[in-house]
Amino acid sequence: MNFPIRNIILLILMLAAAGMAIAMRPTPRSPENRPKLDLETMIPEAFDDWHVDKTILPLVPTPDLQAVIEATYDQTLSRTYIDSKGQRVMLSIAYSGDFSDKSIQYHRPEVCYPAQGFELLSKSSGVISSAYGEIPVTRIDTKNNTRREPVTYWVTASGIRASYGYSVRFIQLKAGLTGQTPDGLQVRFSSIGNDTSAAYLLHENFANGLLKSMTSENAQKIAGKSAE
Amino acid sequence: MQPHSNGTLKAIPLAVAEWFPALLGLVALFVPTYVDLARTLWASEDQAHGPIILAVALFFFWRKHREIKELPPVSASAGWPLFVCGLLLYILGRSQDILLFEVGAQIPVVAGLLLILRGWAAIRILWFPLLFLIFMVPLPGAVVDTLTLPMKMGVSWATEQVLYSLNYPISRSGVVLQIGQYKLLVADACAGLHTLFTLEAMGLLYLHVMRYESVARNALLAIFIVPISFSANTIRVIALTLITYHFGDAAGQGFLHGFAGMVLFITALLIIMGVDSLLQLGEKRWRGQAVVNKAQS
Repeated sequence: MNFPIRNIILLILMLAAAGMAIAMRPTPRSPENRPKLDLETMIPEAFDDWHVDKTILPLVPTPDLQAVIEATYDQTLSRTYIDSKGQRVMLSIAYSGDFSDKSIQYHRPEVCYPAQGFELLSKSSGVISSAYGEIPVTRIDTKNNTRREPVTYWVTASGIRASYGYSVRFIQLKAGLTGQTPDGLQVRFSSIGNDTSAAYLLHENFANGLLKSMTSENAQKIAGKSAE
Repeated sequence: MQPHSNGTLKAIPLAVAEWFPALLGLVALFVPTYVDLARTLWASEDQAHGPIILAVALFFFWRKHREIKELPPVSASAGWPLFVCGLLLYILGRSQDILLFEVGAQIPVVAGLLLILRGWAAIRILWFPLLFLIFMVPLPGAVVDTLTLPMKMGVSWATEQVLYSLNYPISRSGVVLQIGQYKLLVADACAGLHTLFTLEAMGLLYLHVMRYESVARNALLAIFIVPISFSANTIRVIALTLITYHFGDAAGQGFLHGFAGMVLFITALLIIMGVDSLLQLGEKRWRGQAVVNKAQS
């Protein structure tokens, strides 16, 4: 091939790549256009034997983490529920209409808890069998001095159940290639106590009770759908 | 401009015609990338090494540009596939916000261009700056996640041990240190992951410039950088903890905080070069002994 023409072809290809890269970008949604979840009204304040314990203050994140939380997630909900036996479960839900990369890392309990001084004792994957299907969850056991807090959580992206890491990234990529930005939801349950297996069971029963007490439409939003 | 051979006057526009399209294309692809990086990633303390890596790579490319131009214009068959793959990586990375692909694409795109325009000879000359560009790629999130926590724990643990043995009133819970009445959180930046990355890059640059023959020595030094980085980082955390204990919170969190980072980095570099000199001494002794053994056998 005549080299000047070849070199012009190289240039054209590069310019085309630069253009395509910009053209194929998913359009980010402005804050007004992002989908919203009205968590306060969706999540009942009382169901089964549980009701909100208004005397408990939720754990306050460190200032730098708080700044990130305010900048990323659109809606958050933090409540402590108590039942007639005096058992307490802390519910924490975070929803973002635009699931960008940074927010993934800052909300993972494996990152969030150690950042506040907790030690991660163990981590495992599990499943919660709910009325809306099998929800894959991550269970971590944390400790801060004398406070032992097992945590169960799940995360969805674009309403599809996923786990942090490549699973979420893959959903983002698929959505991104069709020009959409996925939303993201993390639902976290935790309780204080030394009996971790009892705690995980407590979280599971709480989650099931919560989902059953919501309208089918709302529960579907919180529980997500399994990936095909 | 004195023409020193018959063809030079003609050769100048020829060289321009040949390289200008390629260079223009590279500018169109990667200058927007650099601009975006400058606005976001490079502005944070974590990734401040980015521009340095780029500058070093560009310097190496520039140093050899005449040599490259004077190579015979052979084309390697691997060039086009590599080039196209690089472009696809770039498109995917830039459109979907995957920096690993967008920034990493520099390597196959430039390598592909070199192969197309000058063949494998060009790669043999420019392999170092090409591979050095790897350090421009920000560490993937998964890697950062996996490594940061254990590194933070390690640094916190080491700090506690050292200060405790010096009879300071210090205790630790996870990554939170309690010294006297102060509570200090060892943050992600203290883990030193990005410092390690940058030190490794600088170490490899140093080795390349020094042109050591011995593979063992190069490898040893590259490995030594890991404990050196960890120690330097621990010393920084210890220093800042002591500053806070003796001079209060404001001192610990203020100007000295950033200053300590720079001191740490330069100290680590000096230690690396010091270790290198020791290795050199060791190597000479070892070689000397080998000669003596040979003479005696």
